[in-house]
Amino acid sequence: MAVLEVFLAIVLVYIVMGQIQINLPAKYSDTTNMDRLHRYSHDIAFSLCGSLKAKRGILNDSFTFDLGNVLPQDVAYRIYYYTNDSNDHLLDSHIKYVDGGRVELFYDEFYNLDAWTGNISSAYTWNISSTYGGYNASAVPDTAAWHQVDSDATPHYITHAQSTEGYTDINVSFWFRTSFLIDSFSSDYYNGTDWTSIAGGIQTSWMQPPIDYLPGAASDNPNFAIRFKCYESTVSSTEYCNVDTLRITGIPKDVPKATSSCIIAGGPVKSNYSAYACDYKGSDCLSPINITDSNWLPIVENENFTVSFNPSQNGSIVEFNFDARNNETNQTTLFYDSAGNQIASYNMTDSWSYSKFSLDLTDYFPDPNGSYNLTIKPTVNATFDLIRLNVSSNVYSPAKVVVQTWNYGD
Amino acid sequence: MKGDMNIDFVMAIILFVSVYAILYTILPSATISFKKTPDPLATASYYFSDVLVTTPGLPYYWNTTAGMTKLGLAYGTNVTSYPNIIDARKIGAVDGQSCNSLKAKVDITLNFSIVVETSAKNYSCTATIPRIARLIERVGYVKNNTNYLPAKIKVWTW
Repeated sequence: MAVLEVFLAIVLVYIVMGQIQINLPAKYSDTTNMDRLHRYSHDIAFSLCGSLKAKRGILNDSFTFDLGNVLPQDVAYRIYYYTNDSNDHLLDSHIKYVDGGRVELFYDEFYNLDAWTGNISSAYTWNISSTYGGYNASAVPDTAAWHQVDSDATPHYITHAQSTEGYTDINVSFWFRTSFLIDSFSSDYYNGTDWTSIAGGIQTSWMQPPIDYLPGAASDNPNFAIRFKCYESTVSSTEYCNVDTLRITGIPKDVPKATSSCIIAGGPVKSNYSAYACDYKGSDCLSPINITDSNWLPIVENENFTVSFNPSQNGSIVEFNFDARNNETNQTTLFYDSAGNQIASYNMTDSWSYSKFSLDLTDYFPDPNGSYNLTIKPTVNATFDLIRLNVSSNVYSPAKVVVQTWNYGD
Repeated sequence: MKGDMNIDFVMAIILFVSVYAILYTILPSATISFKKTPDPLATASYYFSDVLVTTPGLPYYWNTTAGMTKLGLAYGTNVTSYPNIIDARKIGAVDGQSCNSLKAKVDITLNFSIVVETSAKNYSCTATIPRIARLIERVGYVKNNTNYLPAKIKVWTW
């Protein structure tokens, strides 16, 4: 019977175990990693579009976007935007990376120049120096008590070839310093065909030039190389260049990335739109396209008039600017969208002087291919002659902002 | 004797096979080994965090919890909202309040706690968070007049 009991016990355990559903309590557990990355991509995209929208800002070259340290350190991100001119744009100087998202392809503290080729280890060429703290590459003769770069008017280079195959968004960082009167110092990268400058100049104390990443030609390129050039055209005993702590990093191109996007007005400014204004009868219309200072629109008190417009292109009207004047003080003018909803009011307090105001219409007339009426209604219960409109607009093509996030180490 | 089989052993085999066959037929779960149950909080938790960071609540201009009928933290107007842009007045009104006191103003039945962290200030409603709570982290900005501070929004549900 002992054997039978054992088997029955096994059967019992098997049955019980088969029905167990294990809940593993984890403190503050989160969803799966990709869910989490998708959430971050979504949040970054909408934070970017939302803040631009709230600021009435336009995506442009001077825009900066900083998430501070709100992302976990194991999450890296990058931001692209696309406009309707069919060219893909990367936010070159505004891309931000969390450090963990990059892979180091090459690192040199310049204890030696074994990884470099070029003008090395002879007088007046690049060599190793410890003059300015630690070891660094110095374009000075290593036996000299003083610094002299070049007396033959020939630029001196050191070059390191580093394949970036399999990596994108290549970043180069380094420190450099020069003497005050050096003719030039520069760093360049090689895309297999041409050398392109990265950074340089005269800098009398150590500095790290701000380089976010190199253009696409540097990515996934087996012929990628970097070089430093030090040039002094005249005989000098005090001129030098120093370079230290070079890092070349990239992002593995096959890392799983979570992508999200949103649309914001941000492309090139367009001026091709049509707008015209008519009085409340719909008959006394100004000429289309331009409503200028020379065109006067008669408005009957407390009656509506409309400004009709059609962007007629793949763009979105961001704002209308009005110069208005009338012969009454303290008038309130109301603005309505095509559906008759009031979207703004404006109080004109000074008769016969122009009041300047603008309306952000993006939210109300979002379809760039739609036709819209903006209805304007003065509410003052008094007779006034005219309201003059000088309608201008800024029309921007839409930009698609794309955000990718990924994990370090994936 | 060599070759004899213990009757108990034979009976056990027969019994095991019979029980297994019956269970296999009528109780599929008996043949399924250890498994982790789906997270019952995931959908509601994500939905709740989304409502918080993308909608302005009701009314859209609320700035005291007494005057608020539906909880949403996004900056917004009667026409549009600004997803992931947290209104400093709203999260300021929530700061220090009991999370439980806000339950009637959300459309989930879960308990929750909210923390919004910025470099200048952290905001939170008060609650004791149990170990089993689900944490959803979001990112965005806190808008205070014209300032925009990067913010980490943490939402626990249980």
